[in-house]
Amino acid sequence: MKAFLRLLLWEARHLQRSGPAWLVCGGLLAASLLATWAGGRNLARHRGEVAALAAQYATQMETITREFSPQGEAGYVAYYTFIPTHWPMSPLAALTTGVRDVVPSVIWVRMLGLEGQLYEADLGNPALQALGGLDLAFVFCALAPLALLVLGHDAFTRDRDLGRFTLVAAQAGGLGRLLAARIGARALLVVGTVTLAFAGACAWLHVSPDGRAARWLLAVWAYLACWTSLAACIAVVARSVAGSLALALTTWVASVILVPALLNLALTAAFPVPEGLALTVHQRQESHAAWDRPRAETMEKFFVHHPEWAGTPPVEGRFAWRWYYAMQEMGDQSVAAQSQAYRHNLRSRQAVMTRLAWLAPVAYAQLALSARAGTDLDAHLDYLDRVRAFHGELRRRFYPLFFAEASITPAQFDLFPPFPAEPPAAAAPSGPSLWPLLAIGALAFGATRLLLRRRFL
Amino acid sequence: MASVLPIALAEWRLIARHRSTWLLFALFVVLIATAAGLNRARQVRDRAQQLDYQRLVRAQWEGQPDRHPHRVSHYGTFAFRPPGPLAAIDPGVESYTGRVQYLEAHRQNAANFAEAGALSSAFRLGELSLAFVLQLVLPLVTIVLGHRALAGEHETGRLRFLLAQGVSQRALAFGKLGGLALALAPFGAAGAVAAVLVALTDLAFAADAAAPARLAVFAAAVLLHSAAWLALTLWVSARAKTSARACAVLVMLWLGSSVVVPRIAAVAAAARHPLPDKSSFTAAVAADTRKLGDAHNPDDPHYAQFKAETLARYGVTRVEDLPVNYAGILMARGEELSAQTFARHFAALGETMQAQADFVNGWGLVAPTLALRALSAAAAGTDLRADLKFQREAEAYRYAFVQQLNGLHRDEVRYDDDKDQKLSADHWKRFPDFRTAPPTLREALTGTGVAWLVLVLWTLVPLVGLARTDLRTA
Repeated sequence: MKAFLRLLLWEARHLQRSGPAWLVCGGLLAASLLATWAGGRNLARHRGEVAALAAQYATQMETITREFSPQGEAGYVAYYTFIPTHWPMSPLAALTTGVRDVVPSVIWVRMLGLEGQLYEADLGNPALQALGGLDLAFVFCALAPLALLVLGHDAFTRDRDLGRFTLVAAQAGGLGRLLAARIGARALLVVGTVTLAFAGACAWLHVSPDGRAARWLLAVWAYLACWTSLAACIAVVARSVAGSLALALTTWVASVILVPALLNLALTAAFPVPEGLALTVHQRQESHAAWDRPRAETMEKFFVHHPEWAGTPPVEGRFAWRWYYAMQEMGDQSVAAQSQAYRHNLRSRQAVMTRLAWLAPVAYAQLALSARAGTDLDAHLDYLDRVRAFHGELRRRFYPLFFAEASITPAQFDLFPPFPAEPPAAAAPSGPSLWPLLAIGALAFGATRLLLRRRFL
Repeated sequence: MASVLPIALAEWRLIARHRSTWLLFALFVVLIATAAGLNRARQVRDRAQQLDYQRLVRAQWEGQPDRHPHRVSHYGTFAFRPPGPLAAIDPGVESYTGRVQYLEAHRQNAANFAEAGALSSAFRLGELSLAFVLQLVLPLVTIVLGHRALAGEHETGRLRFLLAQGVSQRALAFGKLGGLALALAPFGAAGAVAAVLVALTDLAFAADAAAPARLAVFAAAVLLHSAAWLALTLWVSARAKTSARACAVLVMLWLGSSVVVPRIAAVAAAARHPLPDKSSFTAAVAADTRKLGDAHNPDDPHYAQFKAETLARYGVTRVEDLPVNYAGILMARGEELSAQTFARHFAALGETMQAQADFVNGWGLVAPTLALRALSAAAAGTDLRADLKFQREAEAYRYAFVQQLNGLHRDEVRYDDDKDQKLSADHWKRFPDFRTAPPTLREALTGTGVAWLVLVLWTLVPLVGLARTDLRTA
């Protein structure tokens, strides 16, 4: 053990004097810095948007107050009142964009049919979205393994090219020990750089050093452990520096770029998800058709779902607010099954993706990190579920007013509840387990040992 | 110079003799076939689904019963964006833009329903498409096959023998270049065959008369970009001491050009030309719309004046005495003013987005792949400009259709008892369908001069560099 530590220390000292090592780690740190800066900007922008919501809501309510003072029909007021809901962004989420750059973080809802309000895209520039974002997760998942490979691929091949391999191996006291020391020192260097970058990012963006952040970092370590084994495997397989370099780069390009892209395309082709469009089209058709039907028909349907209102007097004439909102809810109800299927399909596609992602560790790591930061598709769907629940709460509060044909005064506007943004603490998902990453690492480790024995004995 | 051809042929034979070259070619063909095949399958499915919805929405529109015209303008309709002419080859930004816009009275909606496929949390680099393979993978193939071309001769000491035999340095350098180009030709041909196959079997392609010209422009851009990487590979190989170093330098250049710089450019563009967030944008539009007054509110000061003017124009004193329905006139006026407000805000938004895209393209100087991406998506009719054009046309259609309904409201509905009247369902069938076309090739290519120049520079500079490199001292 002591001999190994001495070897490791010697390798570390060697690395300290090597130009490429400084260059690679410097590049990694620079990329991390840039990614953290970009994440900080996104976070500030999100916070700015959320902070402005209260004032925007107040402006809206002032206008409504002017129009409905001293009082207005509850139905009319509800028609014009949009309430902001938002998906809070944690500092950790700023380091892991996940799906957050393509879905809206803020949705204004009103008491009309909900399905038409949930699937609007955000105001992003598609030309920038298509280029992919730069976040810390990207730097750690895509660039850190490359750094590891570039530094570690020639652990054996350089000495072989120079014809001194046997001498070095004999002095090191065993090939396994030499490989472990060389790859280990480089892995420690890269993991150390990554950890330093993460610590810096945490300090910069005030990430709370809690279990979540720790589990996020743990996932990065597990992923890099997997790549350390792969790097060792590559170092042993190749016979010359040119060969090990080509192998390392091919492995990186294939597993970081080609396989994830193929996986994504195959999944999109294999699991078509009917678009939110279907929901909006059907919901619109249903709620507008109600205008042309007898009012009682809609009310009867409504009473099936809300027996508590069944005994109320029938709707007379062309229009009543209770009928209007009942019709809106029945529009949602008519696509409830489709909406359920839509969400179910998205979640199951995500589940299949997670199950297949071990084919490309980078995809698995991205999924694991975005789940731990709460920025994956599941977290987005959870947010939509919270909006759904909130919308239901709005309806529960206002239906008594609609049925009483009541008017409300501006003083009663606090009947519109604020959106409870924070998800219940217990709901924090654990995300995909790290075992597949460690298993790939173990497999590569086993292969390396086997190769060492076959090749060199 | 007569020795260029034999050297080229020798280099080509050397590359072709390697079994790994054939393996690489097989993999490349499989990748192209998968990318093109899966993408086409998805395009066909999406297109069929879109046509189904388009038909359904039209049938729902025409199937409306007798209704009050203002009810119909709230019922609204949808504008569908057809895929760009070459979307099956280069989907461009299409997965990230809404494909459908809901059109209704009183508001301009942002296009929504971006494809759910964009929602996976996996690593996003660009969709695997034919364009992706030609933009990113073909340069890698060039590097793998070509990095040894001159560095290898230097490394093994064969260079001195060759030069001693009287081969000129330039003949050697350009012979190697020719050999590598010959070796790459089958890869390019595979891409061309796939592109033509996809194009010929694609409806979107057949629907556009200029599609063959688009394909030619696409091919020209890809060729120029490939030539740039070819020249670059040889230049680096000429200057590097060892082939390992040549490989490392080239891969780092590739990584910068295709993975790192585009992302940095995107971040920088967002910082340089910030977009408003959606809530602020909506609030700003709402604030400006509020200033116009509310057409639904009979006591609004702006509309009180408008009412006086309208009455004076017809020479009557009461709205009841107008020969037409005042409510319809009022709605039309409200729509006119609010549409102007929307147009102003959305135009500013579109300009900012275009400024961001142009800013990103400016980085093509250090990342030729960005220049190719811009040219390729422009030729395919799948770039930001095509999307913005669709949005403008959808808004123009929305305005026309709401005003047509307001016209019916004005002329066909009586003023008294307005809300209880309904118009015959025959009226709805007379509304035209939404039509849109991608920017013409000429429109698409305006302003792309810089991108072409970037590609030419990235080809010429390495060529000149290669010609001037002294292979012996490299």
